[in-house]
Amino acid sequence: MLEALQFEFMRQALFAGLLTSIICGIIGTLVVVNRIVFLSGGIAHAAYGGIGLAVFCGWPFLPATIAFALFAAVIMAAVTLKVRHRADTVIGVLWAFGMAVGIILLDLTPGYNVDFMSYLFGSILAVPSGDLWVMSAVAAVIIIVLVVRYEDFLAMSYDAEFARLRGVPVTALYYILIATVAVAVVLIIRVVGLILVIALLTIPPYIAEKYTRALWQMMALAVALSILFTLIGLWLSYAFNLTTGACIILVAACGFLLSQVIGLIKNRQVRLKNDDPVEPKPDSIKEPI
Amino acid sequence: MLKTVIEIRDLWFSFNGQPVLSDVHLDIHEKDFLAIIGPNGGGKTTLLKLILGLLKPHQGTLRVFGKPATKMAHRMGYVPQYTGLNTSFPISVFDVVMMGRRRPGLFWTRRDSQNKRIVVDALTKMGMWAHRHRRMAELSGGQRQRVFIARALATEPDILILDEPTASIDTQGQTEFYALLKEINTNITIVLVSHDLMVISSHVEAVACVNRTLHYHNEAEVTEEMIDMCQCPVELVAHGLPHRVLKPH
Repeated sequence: MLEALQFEFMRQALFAGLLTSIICGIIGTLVVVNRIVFLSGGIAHAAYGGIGLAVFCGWPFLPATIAFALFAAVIMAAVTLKVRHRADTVIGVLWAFGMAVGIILLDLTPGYNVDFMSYLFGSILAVPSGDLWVMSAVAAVIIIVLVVRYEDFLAMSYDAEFARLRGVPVTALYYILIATVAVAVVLIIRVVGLILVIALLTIPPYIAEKYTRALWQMMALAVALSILFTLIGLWLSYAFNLTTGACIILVAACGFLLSQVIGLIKNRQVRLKNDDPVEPKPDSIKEPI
Repeated sequence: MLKTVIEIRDLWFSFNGQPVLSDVHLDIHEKDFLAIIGPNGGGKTTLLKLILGLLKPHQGTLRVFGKPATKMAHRMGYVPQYTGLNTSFPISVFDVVMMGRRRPGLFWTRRDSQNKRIVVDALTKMGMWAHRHRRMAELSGGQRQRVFIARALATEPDILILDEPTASIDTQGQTEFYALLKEINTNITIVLVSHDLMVISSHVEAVACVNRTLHYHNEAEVTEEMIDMCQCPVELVAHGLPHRVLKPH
């Protein structure tokens, strides 16, 4: 594998994977704890409309797609805030609409569209270095914003009602979060493809959740797991000549299954150790210090 | 004459076209200990959320310390009804209570000695100091409720607002809890919703029954009028030991 590193494209792929992991680990954590996974999926698929638009009109890929994704994201965010009980229906509609618009626009574009498949399945090995600069900038901005407003995001994610009472601008932060998801998702589509974006956003944080006791720890562990899955996935795709994005996600899914199995085994061990089936008596309110 | 901390006049509120609260008037004075009782769906939690400024009345005024309620949330400590939300969230007991120290306008809550002392105090009062490093996910419902009460205490409120705070706590715990509230009441006004009409401690000074409208009674006993309005029989616990006290009827 190491000999592969002498290839420029391989080094770029590694760098793209690293940036993707940082972005996905952090944003994915917030997506999972705020329970907006479906919404994020909606944004990802609606963004496909932006891809179609960019190709059809000949506009540069990133700005056009990000703009379209932001537009869809803001509508979805507004709907989840104002009409909560039917929000997932509306998200589903926009999901399908965006996707369909994208496909039709690509159909209408004359010429052979290599881009079609690569956006669905990703092409980590062919990420233009311009994109890498954008991803680095976005990752840096995300980290800075999160460090500065960490407490606010934590408060909003844990208990939005209480946060509101303590003066946290919950609604504004929610929109900022959704907008960030839109940008992140568009960037990641290039790397692992539309079909797999959600998996990369959600699997590492979901594994990380039960092993951590602070949100930043969950983010850090999610980033680390994501890097691990990306490295193993890249190696597998190189060694066996397989689609890279799919390999990464397969490794992630195996990681997920492994963590579930480990969890089940640990639960069984705890239950077997506990001979006393009776619930321990609840603590009295006054305890000696 | 104690000053009025919460003043509610002509309050109307509806949700999805259905009226929830009609023509509510209420004065709550400094250091009152008020219990709000009433049947499910009668509007008790809505009234609390209006007082906290989380909801806006459709008609009428709601003033806290003389200003509109929506601007005064920082002077109130709130213990919500549900402890079962977000239980798998990665967070420790200490960090949850520390959230109570957050001041509007500051990005970071400094973990200085003053803030830490207040958090330690609140946790100790609620008997959760030993659990401070545990994940919220590992606690029982009753323990989580105590952490949320500690969080409300850590805000150093002038008014403490509790929505069914003893729902998951056993009778022994409830007695101690009300004793603790009485101690807190020497400096802080307390408004407590109890959906369990069965238990109203003798420490409570006044009772308001909410069932779309509000009936206020200045003593810790429930009149027949209230029983009719609430449409269910009420038992009163007159002392710390369970005594059943019913008015002659």
